[in-house]
Amino acid sequence: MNTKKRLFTYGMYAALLLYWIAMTFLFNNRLSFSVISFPQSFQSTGNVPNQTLRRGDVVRFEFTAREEHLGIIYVRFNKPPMVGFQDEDRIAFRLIRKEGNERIEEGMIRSGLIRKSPFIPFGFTPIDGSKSNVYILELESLAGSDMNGVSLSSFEPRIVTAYKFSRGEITASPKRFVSFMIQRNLEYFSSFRSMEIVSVLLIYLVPFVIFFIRNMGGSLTVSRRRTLSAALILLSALLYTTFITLDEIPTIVLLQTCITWVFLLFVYFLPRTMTLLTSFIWLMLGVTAIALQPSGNIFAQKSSVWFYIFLLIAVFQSLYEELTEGKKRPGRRKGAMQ
Amino acid sequence: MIAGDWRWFWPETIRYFSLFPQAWDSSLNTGIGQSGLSTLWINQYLNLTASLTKVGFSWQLIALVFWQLPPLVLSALGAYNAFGLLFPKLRKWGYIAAVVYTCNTYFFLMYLGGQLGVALAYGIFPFVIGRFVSSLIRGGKTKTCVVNGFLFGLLILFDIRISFIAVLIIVLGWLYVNRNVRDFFRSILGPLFIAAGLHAYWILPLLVYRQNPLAGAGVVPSGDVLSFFSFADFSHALSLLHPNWPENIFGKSYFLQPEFLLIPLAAFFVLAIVKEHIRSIRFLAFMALTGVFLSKGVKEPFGGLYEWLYTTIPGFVMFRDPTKFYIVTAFSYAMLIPHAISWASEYLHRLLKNRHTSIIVKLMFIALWMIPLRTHTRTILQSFGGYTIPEEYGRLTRFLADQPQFFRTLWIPQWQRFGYFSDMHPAIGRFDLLTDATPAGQLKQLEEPGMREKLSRLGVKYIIVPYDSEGELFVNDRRYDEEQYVQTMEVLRMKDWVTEKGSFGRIGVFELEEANSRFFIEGQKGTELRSQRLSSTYYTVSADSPIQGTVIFSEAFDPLWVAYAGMNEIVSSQTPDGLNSFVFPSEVSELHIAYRPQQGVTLGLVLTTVTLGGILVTYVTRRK
Repeated sequence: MNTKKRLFTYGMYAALLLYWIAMTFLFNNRLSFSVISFPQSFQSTGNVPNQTLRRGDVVRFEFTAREEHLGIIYVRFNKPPMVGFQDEDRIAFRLIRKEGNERIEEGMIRSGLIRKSPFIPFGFTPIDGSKSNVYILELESLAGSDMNGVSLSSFEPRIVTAYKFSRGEITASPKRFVSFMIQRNLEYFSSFRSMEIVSVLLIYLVPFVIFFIRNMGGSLTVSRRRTLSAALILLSALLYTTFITLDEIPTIVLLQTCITWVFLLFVYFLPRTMTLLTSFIWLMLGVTAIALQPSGNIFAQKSSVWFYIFLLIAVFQSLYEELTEGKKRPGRRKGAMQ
Repeated sequence: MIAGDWRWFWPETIRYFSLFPQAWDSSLNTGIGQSGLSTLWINQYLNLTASLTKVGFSWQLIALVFWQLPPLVLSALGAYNAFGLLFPKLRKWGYIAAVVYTCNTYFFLMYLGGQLGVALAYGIFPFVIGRFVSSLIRGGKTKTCVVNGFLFGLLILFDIRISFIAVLIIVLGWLYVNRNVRDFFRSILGPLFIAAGLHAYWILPLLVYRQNPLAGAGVVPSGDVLSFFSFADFSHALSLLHPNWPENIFGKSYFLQPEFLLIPLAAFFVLAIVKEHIRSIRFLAFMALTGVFLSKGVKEPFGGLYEWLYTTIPGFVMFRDPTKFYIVTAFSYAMLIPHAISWASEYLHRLLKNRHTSIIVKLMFIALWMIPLRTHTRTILQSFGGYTIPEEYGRLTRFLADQPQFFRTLWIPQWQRFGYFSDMHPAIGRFDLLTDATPAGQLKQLEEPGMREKLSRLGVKYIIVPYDSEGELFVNDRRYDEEQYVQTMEVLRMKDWVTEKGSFGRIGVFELEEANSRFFIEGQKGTELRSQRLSSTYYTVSADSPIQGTVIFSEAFDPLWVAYAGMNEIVSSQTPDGLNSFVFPSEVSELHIAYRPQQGVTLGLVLTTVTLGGILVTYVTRRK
């Protein structure tokens, strides 16, 4: 291996490792890097989960802030019924400091927004000195009815509080940075079950491992490396789809899987039938999931996305084969579709 | 058929339909009037077909022959024809293509939802795609170009959005199979030019008067609108399963049913097994995947791409309801699935050595395909039967239509599908005046300051509370709510400025004390204006004494309305309540009020006639 190639290989290893660290530990949830979030224990009055909020109904959540700079409170709702824009309910929210009954923030959201994303963030200017203070989040339905009303979810965590730190605070010292990162990730991973943790840790490591397998040299045959790499991509995608409780597969995961699979196509000349077969397997997994249990719908939706992605790769692979085949045979009549 | 968007017309309504295209729509889609240019293509087909009532045919028969049957017949024939054109050697499997294209949840819900204009376009679509792609492959002669242009003209007549999709596919097809510039001009641009000539009667005025055809439809390019209308997700789009299946309640999405997920398997399996026609199959597979992606709209993943297309690509703004792209998937699947069935048949034939295998496989496929669709198939067949119109609507129609003078009716909460309206008696009741969604809210709006005067200026003579025979107006949580009807009647009965008229059964008819005519002079109650309606775009107005002051023309304001008085040409000004007004510099005794774009329509119609004549001459005289 010449120096240039070696440098490239090591550079790739470093980049892929950094990618894994960044995606797994730094950008591992949808919050900004400088935000730390906690599932919040609370006392509530005024409503029970799954009970529709009608006009005038008020729900109160009383909780103690765990950190400084309280800036977002997430509340988990059930998906409300779909109605026209003019028929949507409006939910007024108020944040009150219990001590002194001081109203800090108020605003309003429409139920259509909750339909889009049931885990709703109520954001406001970060409160300095929030740690250990007791706050009340008050939600009031302004136009709720059986037709358009929202209800609170019974799934935990029902309330998550998020605290926004300034860059200066995080990077004040290496020790502070490390402790912030550890705290952030401990909180993030603490809500996960073990299979979820495995899925999250594995998914972004796949490119690194595949590149590693590619460079393993003579210890494995090309055919075995190909099978191993393909299996790894599929297994990680399957684990992620099965165990991570998101309604949608993140775009980055889809893109990563696409790119790694295309990498296999070019490096190991993976046949089109293999890609097609993979897509059909995803489809059959979806069918089986719904057939076995009604709650399999979410899995079926996600497996349809995988089916689509692999099918798209197969079609493009087929078109690419046609293009390259055309170059090999220049005398072939252009436009002959039959 | 009585459902969804499909309309019922009384002969008294059709009497005012014009055989000659009219640029102003006084009553068909709104009670206050609006430019008719943005819907002139389909309205003209409606007017022409409905006019057959004047020679004694009933509307039911006309609807059956010209609207209900053609989508079913055309879509089956179109898919069969397109399959035969694209895969001549497999022509006998075209029946499968016809079944797949005609019997699927998207077509069924569109058809049963009364969107028969779109359904007709759906029927023409495979003819257009099949013929255009075939001409790209085999080369098109002049006659082919003319016939394709005529077919494309028909597609535009029924739905402009489907035509837009067809153009995208044809251009993609050209890029894939041909890329020859001469063929592009001959096989694509030529026919499109002919189609544009056929539709000159509405395209020309749109261009000349710079009217936005989407303005009337209330189409606003915004992400929120798109999110609202993106009902389908990947799994539904891939399964060719309409998200509102089976109940067809707008906006109510249902869980995926596993049997439908086998459809994409049947469609894409062909990529693994077929060696012949592989280029066509690759293209169709790519088309199907594109259709699936676009059908899900802004739903994740990669939903931002649709939003970008919607806000960036000219014409894409027509697709705020992304399910329109189901047509691409339906067509592609209809072309792909027969290959898999044919392969299965051959495989079984080799295995069983039975000469009837092909028939058995076809029948089995059709039976399996139709099982999930059986209920809706029955509903479609039942829709050909007759239906009963509540007798009180007949009485109301006679009562209103027998009054020769102009007035409007206001329907609370909405105009009912059997309710009478005409250009002489337009019906307000599609949230065009009272915008609240509920009857109670609308009754409150009636009491707002200035509302009574506004009703009078609009010429509203009767407020009508309909008998909700179909259970679709007084609804609570999508179910009929008798209480709302009763309360609406009670509230109106308590108002002292309306008088209830009896003898209309469960229809409440309340007469207002005062209603202006279509033309009146601002602030002068004494001066009587006589108006004569020559068409919905041309009126003459006169008075016994010279007209002084501001003449109000009680139709929705449009700056293209013009009054001619002697040598004076006065452009309409908007009144504070959104009507047209004309201020004359001197006294006049006779006025002519015209809607300017009608001149463009007339000129365009000449072009349309010339193009149609050209097509006929070419078709008869040219061999190829």
